[in-house]
Amino acid sequence: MKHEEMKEKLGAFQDGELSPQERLEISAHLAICVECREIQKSWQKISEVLFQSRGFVSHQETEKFVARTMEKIIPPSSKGAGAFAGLFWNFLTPALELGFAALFFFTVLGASDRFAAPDTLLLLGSNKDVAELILPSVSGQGANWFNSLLEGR
Amino acid sequence: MGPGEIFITDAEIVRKIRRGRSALYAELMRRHYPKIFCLCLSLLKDPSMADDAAQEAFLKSYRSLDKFREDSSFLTWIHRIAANRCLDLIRLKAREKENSLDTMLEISENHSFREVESSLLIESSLINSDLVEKIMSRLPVEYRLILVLREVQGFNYQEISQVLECSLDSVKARLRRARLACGEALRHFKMAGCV
Ligand SMILES: [Zn+2]
Repeated sequence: MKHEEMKEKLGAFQDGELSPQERLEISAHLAICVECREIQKSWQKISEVLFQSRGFVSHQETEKFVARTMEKIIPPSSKGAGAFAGLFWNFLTPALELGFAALFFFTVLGASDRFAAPDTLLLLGSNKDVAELILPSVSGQGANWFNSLLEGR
Repeated sequence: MGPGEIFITDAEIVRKIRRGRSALYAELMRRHYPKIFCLCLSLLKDPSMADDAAQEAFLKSYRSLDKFREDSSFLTWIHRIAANRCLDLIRLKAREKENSLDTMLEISENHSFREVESSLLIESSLINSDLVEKIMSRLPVEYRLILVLREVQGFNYQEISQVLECSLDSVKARLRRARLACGEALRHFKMAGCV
Protein backbone atom coordinates (compact mmCIF):
# COMPACT_ATOMS: atom_id res chain seq x y z
CA MET A 1 0.00 0.00 0.00
CA LYS A 2 1.18 3.49 -0.83
CA HIS A 3 0.83 6.59 1.37
CA GLU A 4 -2.36 7.80 -0.43
CA GLU A 5 -4.02 4.43 -0.02
CA MET A 6 -3.03 4.29 3.62
CA LYS A 7 -4.36 7.78 4.21
CA GLU A 8 -7.74 6.69 2.83
CA LYS A 9 -7.86 3.80 5.27
CA LEU A 10 -6.91 5.73 8.39
CA GLY A 11 -10.57 6.12 9.37
CA ALA A 12 -11.32 2.42 9.04
CA PHE A 13 -8.07 1.71 10.92
CA GLN A 14 -9.17 3.84 13.83
CA ASP A 15 -12.62 2.26 13.73
CA GLY A 16 -11.11 -1.22 13.99
CA GLU A 17 -12.69 -2.23 10.68
CA LEU A 18 -9.59 -3.47 8.83
CA SER A 19 -8.29 -6.97 8.31
CA PRO A 20 -5.34 -8.01 10.56
CA GLN A 21 -3.02 -7.77 7.55
CA GLU A 22 -4.16 -4.23 6.71
CA ARG A 23 -3.86 -3.22 10.36
CA LEU A 24 -0.24 -4.34 10.46
CA GLU A 25 0.57 -2.43 7.28
CA ILE A 26 -1.03 0.77 8.53
CA SER A 27 0.64 0.51 11.94
CA ALA A 28 4.02 0.15 10.26
CA HIS A 29 3.28 3.11 7.99
CA LEU A 30 2.13 5.31 10.86
CA ALA A 31 5.50 4.74 12.52
CA ILE A 32 7.31 6.35 9.59
CA CYS A 33 4.80 8.84 8.07
CA VAL A 34 4.41 12.16 9.88
CA GLU A 35 1.42 13.34 7.81
CA CYS A 36 -0.65 10.21 8.42
CA ARG A 37 0.28 10.27 12.09
CA GLU A 38 -0.88 13.86 12.44
CA ILE A 39 -4.14 13.19 10.60
CA GLN A 40 -4.69 10.26 12.90
CA LYS A 41 -3.95 12.32 16.03
CA SER A 42 -6.22 15.19 14.94
CA TRP A 43 -9.07 12.82 14.30
CA GLN A 44 -8.57 11.04 17.58
CA LYS A 45 -8.77 14.40 19.33
CA ILE A 46 -11.97 15.42 17.51
CA SER A 47 -13.47 12.04 18.28
CA GLU A 48 -12.51 12.28 21.94
CA VAL A 49 -14.06 15.74 22.27
CA LEU A 50 -17.20 14.55 20.48
CA PHE A 51 -17.53 11.66 22.90
CA GLN A 52 -17.09 13.85 25.94
CA SER A 53 -19.36 16.70 24.88
CA ARG A 54 -22.36 14.60 23.90
CA GLY A 55 -25.38 14.62 26.16
CA PHE A 56 -25.39 12.60 29.32
CA VAL A 57 -28.90 11.49 30.21
CA SER A 58 -29.55 10.84 33.90
CA HIS A 59 -31.44 7.87 35.27
CA GLN A 60 -34.24 10.22 36.46
CA GLU A 61 -34.63 11.80 33.03
CA THR A 62 -34.85 8.37 31.49
CA GLU A 63 -37.51 7.25 33.98
CA LYS A 64 -39.58 10.39 33.35
CA PHE A 65 -39.41 9.80 29.62
CA VAL A 66 -40.37 6.15 30.02
CA ALA A 67 -43.33 7.05 32.26
CA ARG A 68 -44.80 9.68 29.96
CA THR A 69 -44.29 7.56 26.85
CA MET A 70 -45.84 4.49 28.48
CA GLU A 71 -48.89 6.64 29.31
CA LYS A 72 -49.43 7.01 25.58
CA ILE A 73 -49.00 3.29 25.00
CA ILE A 74 -51.06 2.03 27.93
CA PRO A 75 -53.41 4.80 29.13
CA PRO A 76 -53.27 5.23 32.96
CA SER A 77 -56.90 4.11 33.43
CA SER A 78 -56.03 0.58 32.37
CA LYS A 79 -52.94 -0.21 34.42
CA GLY A 80 -51.21 -0.01 37.81
CA ALA A 81 -52.36 0.25 41.43
CA GLY A 82 -53.09 4.00 41.22
CA ALA A 83 -55.16 3.39 38.15
CA PHE A 84 -57.22 0.74 39.92
CA ALA A 85 -59.44 3.33 41.62
CA GLY A 86 -60.24 4.88 38.24
CA LEU A 87 -60.95 1.48 36.80
CA PHE A 88 -63.14 0.62 39.79
CA TRP A 89 -65.27 3.78 39.44
CA ASN A 90 -65.49 3.48 35.67
CA PHE A 91 -66.88 0.03 36.17
CA LEU A 92 -68.95 0.76 39.24
CA THR A 93 -71.07 3.65 37.96
CA PRO A 94 -72.73 1.81 35.07
CA ALA A 95 -72.77 -1.38 37.11
CA LEU A 96 -74.74 0.35 39.90
CA GLU A 97 -77.22 1.73 37.38
CA LEU A 98 -77.74 -1.72 35.98
CA GLY A 99 -77.89 -3.21 39.45
CA PHE A 100 -80.73 -0.88 40.41
CA ALA A 101 -82.46 -1.53 37.12
CA ALA A 102 -82.18 -5.26 37.67
CA LEU A 103 -83.35 -5.00 41.27
CA PHE A 104 -86.37 -2.99 40.16
CA PHE A 105 -87.04 -5.46 37.38
CA PHE A 106 -86.98 -8.47 39.67
CA THR A 107 -88.92 -6.75 42.42
CA VAL A 108 -91.75 -5.53 40.17
CA LEU A 109 -92.00 -8.44 37.74
CA GLY A 110 -90.87 -11.20 40.04
CA ALA A 111 -87.68 -13.22 39.66
CA SER A 112 -87.55 -16.36 37.59
CA ASP A 113 -84.87 -19.01 37.10
CA ARG A 114 -84.94 -18.25 33.39
CA PHE A 115 -83.64 -14.74 34.07
CA ALA A 116 -79.97 -14.00 34.56
CA ALA A 117 -79.03 -13.53 38.21
CA PRO A 118 -78.34 -9.92 39.34
CA ASP A 119 -74.60 -10.57 39.93
CA THR A 120 -74.29 -11.85 36.36
CA LEU A 121 -75.69 -8.54 35.18
CA LEU A 122 -73.17 -6.68 37.31
CA LEU A 123 -70.30 -8.58 35.79
CA LEU A 124 -71.50 -8.04 32.27
CA GLY A 125 -71.61 -4.24 32.37
CA SER A 126 -74.39 -1.86 31.42
CA ASN A 127 -74.71 -1.12 27.73
CA LYS A 128 -77.17 -2.23 25.12
CA ASP A 129 -74.99 -5.25 24.23
CA VAL A 130 -75.73 -6.54 27.71
CA ALA A 131 -79.45 -6.10 27.17
CA GLU A 132 -79.13 -8.06 23.96
CA LEU A 133 -77.22 -10.78 25.81
CA ILE A 134 -79.91 -11.10 28.48
CA LEU A 135 -83.14 -10.30 26.69
CA PRO A 136 -83.48 -13.48 24.62
CA SER A 137 -84.29 -15.20 27.90
CA VAL A 138 -86.83 -12.54 28.84
CA SER A 139 -90.10 -12.50 26.99
CA GLY A 140 -93.05 -10.20 26.31
CA GLN A 141 -93.89 -7.01 28.12
CA GLY A 142 -91.16 -7.46 30.74
CA ALA A 143 -88.49 -7.48 28.04
CA ASN A 144 -89.74 -4.28 26.40
CA TRP A 145 -90.00 -2.59 29.73
CA PHE A 146 -86.49 -3.65 30.71
CA ASN A 147 -85.18 -2.50 27.36
CA SER A 148 -86.74 0.94 27.62
CA LEU A 149 -85.41 1.26 31.16
CA LEU A 150 -81.89 0.56 29.92
CA GLU A 151 -82.24 3.07 27.10
CA GLY A 152 -83.54 5.68 29.53
CA ARG A 153 -86.98 6.02 27.89
CA MET B 1 -27.84 -6.08 37.00
CA GLY B 2 -27.86 -7.62 40.48
CA PRO B 3 -26.76 -11.15 41.34
CA GLY B 4 -29.33 -13.76 40.45
CA GLU B 5 -31.13 -11.50 37.95
CA ILE B 6 -31.56 -13.02 34.55
CA PHE B 7 -30.70 -10.84 31.60
CA ILE B 8 -33.40 -10.75 28.96
CA THR B 9 -32.30 -9.77 25.48
CA ASP B 10 -34.10 -7.09 23.47
CA ALA B 11 -35.28 -9.74 21.03
CA GLU B 12 -36.89 -11.74 23.86
CA ILE B 13 -38.61 -8.63 25.19
CA VAL B 14 -39.95 -7.86 21.71
CA ARG B 15 -41.32 -11.41 21.48
CA LYS B 16 -43.08 -11.05 24.85
CA ILE B 17 -44.56 -7.69 23.85
CA ARG B 18 -45.88 -9.23 20.65
CA ARG B 19 -47.53 -11.89 22.80
CA GLY B 20 -49.38 -9.13 24.64
CA ARG B 21 -47.10 -7.99 27.45
CA SER B 22 -47.09 -4.34 26.36
CA ALA B 23 -45.80 -3.08 29.72
CA LEU B 24 -42.40 -4.60 28.92
CA TYR B 25 -41.89 -1.90 26.30
CA ALA B 26 -40.85 0.35 29.20
CA GLU B 27 -37.74 -1.78 29.64
CA LEU B 28 -36.76 -1.37 25.98
CA MET B 29 -37.11 2.40 26.31
CA ARG B 30 -35.17 2.40 29.58
CA ARG B 31 -32.33 0.63 27.81
CA HIS B 32 -32.18 2.78 24.71
CA TYR B 33 -33.64 6.22 25.45
CA PRO B 34 -30.29 7.80 26.45
CA LYS B 35 -28.72 6.88 23.11
CA ILE B 36 -31.77 7.85 21.10
CA PHE B 37 -32.06 11.20 22.87
CA CYS B 38 -28.38 11.81 22.23
CA LEU B 39 -28.79 10.99 18.53
CA CYS B 40 -31.81 13.31 18.20
CA LEU B 41 -30.04 16.09 20.09
CA SER B 42 -26.99 15.79 17.86
CA LEU B 43 -29.15 16.19 14.80
CA LEU B 44 -31.79 18.67 15.98
CA LYS B 45 -29.72 20.77 18.43
CA ASP B 46 -32.77 21.54 20.55
CA PRO B 47 -33.37 19.45 23.71
CA SER B 48 -37.14 19.80 23.65
CA MET B 49 -37.40 18.95 19.94
CA ALA B 50 -34.99 16.06 20.51
CA ASP B 51 -37.13 14.71 23.32
CA ASP B 52 -40.30 14.94 21.20
CA ALA B 53 -38.56 13.23 18.29
CA ALA B 54 -37.33 10.47 20.60
CA GLN B 55 -40.86 9.92 21.88
CA GLU B 56 -42.33 9.84 18.38
CA ALA B 57 -39.66 7.33 17.39
CA PHE B 58 -40.44 5.02 20.33
CA LEU B 59 -44.20 5.28 19.72
CA LYS B 60 -43.76 4.53 16.03
CA SER B 61 -41.50 1.61 16.83
CA TYR B 62 -44.06 0.24 19.31
CA ARG B 63 -46.88 0.51 16.78
CA SER B 64 -44.88 -1.22 14.07
CA LEU B 65 -43.27 -3.84 16.29
CA ASP B 66 -44.81 -6.57 14.15
CA LYS B 67 -42.68 -5.33 11.25
CA PHE B 68 -39.48 -5.67 13.25
CA ARG B 69 -37.35 -8.43 11.77
CA GLU B 70 -35.12 -10.23 14.20
CA ASP B 71 -32.17 -10.37 11.81
CA SER B 72 -31.37 -6.81 12.86
CA SER B 73 -31.11 -5.56 16.43
CA PHE B 74 -33.77 -3.48 18.14
CA LEU B 75 -31.09 -0.88 18.86
CA THR B 76 -30.22 -0.29 15.20
CA TRP B 77 -33.91 -0.47 14.28
CA ILE B 78 -34.93 2.25 16.74
CA HIS B 79 -31.93 4.31 15.61
CA ARG B 80 -33.19 4.07 12.03
CA ILE B 81 -36.68 5.21 13.00
CA ALA B 82 -35.34 8.08 15.14
CA ALA B 83 -32.83 9.20 12.51
CA ASN B 84 -35.52 9.21 9.81
CA ARG B 85 -37.82 11.23 12.05
CA CYS B 86 -35.06 13.79 12.69
CA LEU B 87 -34.17 14.00 9.00
CA ASP B 88 -37.85 14.58 8.17
CA LEU B 89 -38.03 17.38 10.74
CA ILE B 90 -34.84 18.98 9.45
CA ARG B 91 -36.03 18.75 5.83
CA LEU B 92 -39.33 20.29 6.81
CA LYS B 93 -37.50 23.14 8.50
CA ALA B 94 -35.18 23.56 5.52
CA ARG B 95 -38.12 23.65 3.13
CA GLU B 96 -39.73 26.26 5.31
CA LYS B 97 -36.61 28.35 4.99
CA GLU B 98 -36.60 27.71 1.22
CA ASN B 99 -33.10 26.49 1.75
CA SER B 100 -33.32 22.90 0.69
CA LEU B 101 -31.03 20.33 2.21
CA ASP B 102 -30.41 18.84 -1.24
CA THR B 103 -28.68 22.01 -2.34
CA MET B 104 -26.54 21.94 0.76
CA LEU B 105 -25.66 18.33 0.12
CA GLU B 106 -24.90 18.90 -3.57
CA ILE B 107 -22.44 21.59 -2.68
CA SER B 108 -20.60 19.41 -0.23
CA GLU B 109 -20.66 16.30 -2.45
CA ASN B 110 -19.25 18.16 -5.45
CA HIS B 111 -16.46 19.68 -3.48
CA SER B 112 -13.02 18.30 -4.08
CA PHE B 113 -11.63 16.81 -0.89
CA ARG B 114 -8.10 16.38 -2.17
CA GLU B 115 -6.80 19.54 -0.60
CA VAL B 116 -9.00 19.14 2.44
CA GLU B 117 -7.21 16.19 3.93
CA SER B 118 -4.21 18.27 4.91
CA SER B 119 -6.53 20.59 6.82
CA LEU B 120 -6.82 17.88 9.45
CA LEU B 121 -3.23 18.71 10.18
CA ILE B 122 -4.22 21.21 12.80
CA GLU B 123 -2.41 21.14 16.08
CA SER B 124 -4.62 18.68 17.94
CA SER B 125 -4.32 20.57 21.23
CA LEU B 126 -6.20 23.49 19.62
CA ILE B 127 -9.36 21.46 19.14
CA ASN B 128 -11.87 22.09 21.91
CA SER B 129 -15.53 21.23 22.40
CA ASP B 130 -16.75 24.67 21.25
CA LEU B 131 -14.92 24.19 18.02
CA VAL B 132 -16.29 20.69 17.53
CA GLU B 133 -19.82 22.05 18.02
CA LYS B 134 -19.15 24.74 15.42
CA ILE B 135 -17.71 22.19 13.05
CA MET B 136 -20.65 19.84 13.51
CA SER B 137 -23.16 22.61 12.90
CA ARG B 138 -21.50 23.38 9.54
CA LEU B 139 -21.85 19.80 8.33
CA PRO B 140 -24.79 18.52 6.28
CA VAL B 141 -27.11 16.53 8.50
CA GLU B 142 -26.33 13.22 6.74
CA TYR B 143 -22.69 13.64 7.71
CA ARG B 144 -23.58 14.56 11.27
CA LEU B 145 -25.74 11.46 11.44
CA ILE B 146 -23.05 9.03 10.34
CA LEU B 147 -20.44 10.69 12.56
CA VAL B 148 -22.71 10.48 15.59
CA LEU B 149 -23.49 6.82 14.86
CA ARG B 150 -19.80 6.01 14.68
CA GLU B 151 -18.16 8.42 17.10
CA VAL B 152 -20.83 8.89 19.73
CA GLN B 153 -22.91 5.72 19.63
CA GLY B 154 -19.86 3.58 18.87
CA PHE B 155 -21.62 1.53 16.18
CA ASN B 156 -19.50 -0.66 13.94
CA TYR B 157 -19.83 -0.47 10.15
CA GLN B 158 -22.27 -3.39 10.04
CA GLU B 159 -24.59 -1.66 12.52
CA ILE B 160 -24.29 1.66 10.70
CA SER B 161 -25.24 -0.07 7.45
CA GLN B 162 -28.37 -1.42 9.17
CA VAL B 163 -29.37 2.01 10.46
CA LEU B 164 -28.74 3.75 7.15
CA GLU B 165 -29.94 0.80 5.06
CA CYS B 166 -26.90 0.88 2.81
CA SER B 167 -23.93 -1.34 1.95
CA LEU B 168 -20.71 -1.62 3.97
CA ASP B 169 -18.81 0.03 1.12
CA SER B 170 -21.23 2.90 1.22
CA VAL B 171 -20.70 3.25 4.98
CA LYS B 172 -16.93 3.44 4.43
CA ALA B 173 -17.27 6.02 1.66
CA ARG B 174 -19.81 8.15 3.53
CA LEU B 175 -17.82 8.08 6.72
CA ARG B 176 -14.71 9.12 4.86
CA ARG B 177 -16.56 11.98 3.18
CA ALA B 178 -18.02 13.05 6.50
CA ARG B 179 -14.61 13.11 8.14
CA LEU B 180 -13.15 15.04 5.25
CA ALA B 181 -16.01 17.51 5.48
CA CYS B 182 -15.12 17.81 9.16
CA GLY B 183 -11.60 18.68 8.09
CA GLU B 184 -12.96 21.23 5.65
CA ALA B 185 -15.04 22.87 8.35
CA LEU B 186 -11.99 22.90 10.56
CA ARG B 187 -10.05 24.65 7.80
CA HIS B 188 -12.85 27.20 7.51
CA PHE B 189 -12.50 28.06 11.18
CA LYS B 190 -8.74 28.09 10.89
CA MET B 191 -8.98 30.64 8.09
CA ALA B 192 -11.50 32.65 10.08
CA GLY B 193 -8.97 32.79 12.88
CA CYS B 194 -10.96 30.68 15.34
CA VAL B 195 -8.15 28.14 15.65
ZN1 LIG C 1 1.32 8.46 5.10
